[in-house]
Amino acid sequence: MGIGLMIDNAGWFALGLVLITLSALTHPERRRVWIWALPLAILVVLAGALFPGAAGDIPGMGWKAWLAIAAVAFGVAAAPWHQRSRNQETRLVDLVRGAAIVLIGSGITITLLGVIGWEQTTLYTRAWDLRLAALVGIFIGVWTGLNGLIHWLRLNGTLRASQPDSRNQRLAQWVVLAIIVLLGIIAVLYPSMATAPLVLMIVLAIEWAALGALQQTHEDLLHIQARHVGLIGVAIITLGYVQSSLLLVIGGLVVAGSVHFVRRQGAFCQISRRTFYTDETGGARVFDGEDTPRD
Amino acid sequence: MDPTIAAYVVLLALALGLTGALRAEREHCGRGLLIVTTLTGFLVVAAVSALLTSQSALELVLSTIAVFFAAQGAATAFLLLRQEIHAEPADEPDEQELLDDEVRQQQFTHARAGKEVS
Repeated sequence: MGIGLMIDNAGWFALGLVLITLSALTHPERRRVWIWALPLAILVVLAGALFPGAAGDIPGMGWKAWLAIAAVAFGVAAAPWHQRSRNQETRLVDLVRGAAIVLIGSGITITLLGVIGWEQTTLYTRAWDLRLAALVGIFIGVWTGLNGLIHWLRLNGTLRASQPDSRNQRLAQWVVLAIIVLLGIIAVLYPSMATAPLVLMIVLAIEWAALGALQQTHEDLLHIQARHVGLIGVAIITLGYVQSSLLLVIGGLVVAGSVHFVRRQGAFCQISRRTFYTDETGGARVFDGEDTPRD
Repeated sequence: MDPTIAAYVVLLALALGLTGALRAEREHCGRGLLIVTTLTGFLVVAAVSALLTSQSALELVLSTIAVFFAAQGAATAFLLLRQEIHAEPADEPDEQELLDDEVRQQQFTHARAGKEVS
């Protein structure tokens, strides 16, 4: 291309497929079968990355390719396939729980990719932008993963929501966030002494994210998860920047989808609004005004 | 890569998502969110490429765990999207489905007529 983007033939094909699929799926008259194009696009790019290694074209990479295939297979098998049949209406609590699993998985992935990126980029002291990208990934990953985990534990009844915080507590949270940002800046600008600020930043981010997630009201969980999907999009953009790849476009689309949902208060067709949280979370507040059957 | 080009590409993708590809009425916003959540499955590709290029044992272990969780998240997101798409109320009959039904009916009639003749 000559503009710095490194997208191979499989990538262009997948990008075209994704754009056509988005157009088809957001058009109500098109056929449902288009949803299969999304995993197909991911598989095409995945095959493009895996095939040279698995076929033995690149020496020493064969077993890594097979390890990756096994990890993907185990990951797909570990998804909650058994939860519901596709024609059955679900409750909001099930949807939020499913989204929480997505946030946990994506959060852990982004954090680990950030750590790997940090380990690789600290070798080059001038590449402050790569370190910043890794750091942003670590922060978003910790925040999103922990939010997902706490939402999941709350919906399972393991954790109870805490009381809404006072003004002083909110102030303290803002101070913690400012310290996190400061530690991040120190870690980016002074890589030779970055270990302690980085570890401290991660610990504070865990505390900050956990306290925030515990205070969220049940009514807001899905919208907060939608915002975190947008944050995952930002992390994908940073990954795309580091790799100069297709992920830049995918990240932009993910952020756009999240903005659409959050701004327009989107609704879900799969939710049966009869029962919300009463029987699932033991004592959690019933969703006001939404506990009537859907027409 | 060049930050300016990266910014242009992201802005283009954002504009595309906000104005065209993901624009839909309110009822379909939930569908749009699940579509882009499924798109986060591209994290699997990033994790796999990190695994393939890992230089040390630590990177190998971390990237393998990343691949596992990315695949789990992507599969879960796809399942949620599939549920949402199949839960859409069928307000108007799908033209393509009507055509398919007609073709199927014709084939059935031809098959029956063929059997009766033989």
